Amino acid sequence: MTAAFDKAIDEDAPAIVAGGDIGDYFQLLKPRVMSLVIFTALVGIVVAPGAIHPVIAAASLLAIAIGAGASGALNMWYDADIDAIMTRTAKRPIPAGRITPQEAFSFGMVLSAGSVLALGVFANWVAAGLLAFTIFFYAVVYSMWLKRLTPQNIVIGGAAGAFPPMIGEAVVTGQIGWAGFVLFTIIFLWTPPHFWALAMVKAEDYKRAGVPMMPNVAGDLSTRRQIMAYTVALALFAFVPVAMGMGGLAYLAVAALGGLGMLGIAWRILKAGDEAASAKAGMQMFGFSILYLFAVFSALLAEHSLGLMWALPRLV
Amino acid sequence: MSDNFPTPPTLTPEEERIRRRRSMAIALALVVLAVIFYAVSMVKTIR
Repeated sequence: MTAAFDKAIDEDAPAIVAGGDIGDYFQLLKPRVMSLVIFTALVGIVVAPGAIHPVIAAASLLAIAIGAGASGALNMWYDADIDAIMTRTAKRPIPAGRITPQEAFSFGMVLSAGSVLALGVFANWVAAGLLAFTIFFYAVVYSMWLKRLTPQNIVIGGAAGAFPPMIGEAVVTGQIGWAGFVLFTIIFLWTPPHFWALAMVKAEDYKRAGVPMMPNVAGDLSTRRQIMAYTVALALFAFVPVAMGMGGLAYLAVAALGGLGMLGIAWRILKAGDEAASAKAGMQMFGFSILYLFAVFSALLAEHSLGLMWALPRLV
Repeated sequence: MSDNFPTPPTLTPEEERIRRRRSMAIALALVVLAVIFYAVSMVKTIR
């Protein structure tokens, strides 16, 4: 941790004149990840038991989004060395030389503090504390510690991406509840198949950068089996919202069809005969898993906000 | 005393343009932030 902060101080290039344009700073926030965070946090707000004024909900969502972006900036600051090696990330603002590591670090820290304080004022301090923990988890636990240490990096680190619905629920209720926890678990189980599918395709990239992703450490076959295991767990767990009465008929249909789609692609990955077939199925999983997550969360959003809930008997 | 200070860097027109855009963006963000804080305060007061 100290070494990480020394890093920020040591890289004292003459940054008197910042070179980055607005677009470069925006890129530091990882806008695609940020959009997913906004969406999942919104679903957390909508399914939470309780009501909230739309202005406070919108302001809170903005704070959560900025907090997520801040952790992205801190991640890019810390990972600039490996980002420069990997083809997927070499054009990011720091490795491309458009923004200095110091600028990214300052930007990330200022936005982190600002977003947490803003959420505390807008909503409550439970939600703000959760946001602070999420930023810490992504920037320190995942980026600085786990990512370069263990092939379980994205499994444990995936929790950071799964927290937003819990923050959303806390914005409404002021506490951590079951609805947020169930949504957290869905994203948590979704993360390994999603990222390992990409890691299988980009294995050489990760190897060159020295990041111990599962395909590089445990091998292709073990990764395929684990993708299948997590996909089975995800497809089954996705029915829990129905059992709790949180999801209705529309959600059930989407979760069932989406789960079958995920399982079908996971099976294709498991049975891929050669490298080309494996890469093709891996990219299919990467793309479809995004669609799957979007669909199941959209179903919950539609049921709770558009009055489309056709409730089924609760089992829990 | 003034000898101890480094000479301020000379900016190219492109750097000037980028700096101006960045300053405008920061100013805009501050205005938006003030509006949001105002709106949230009003909502909380009225409720």
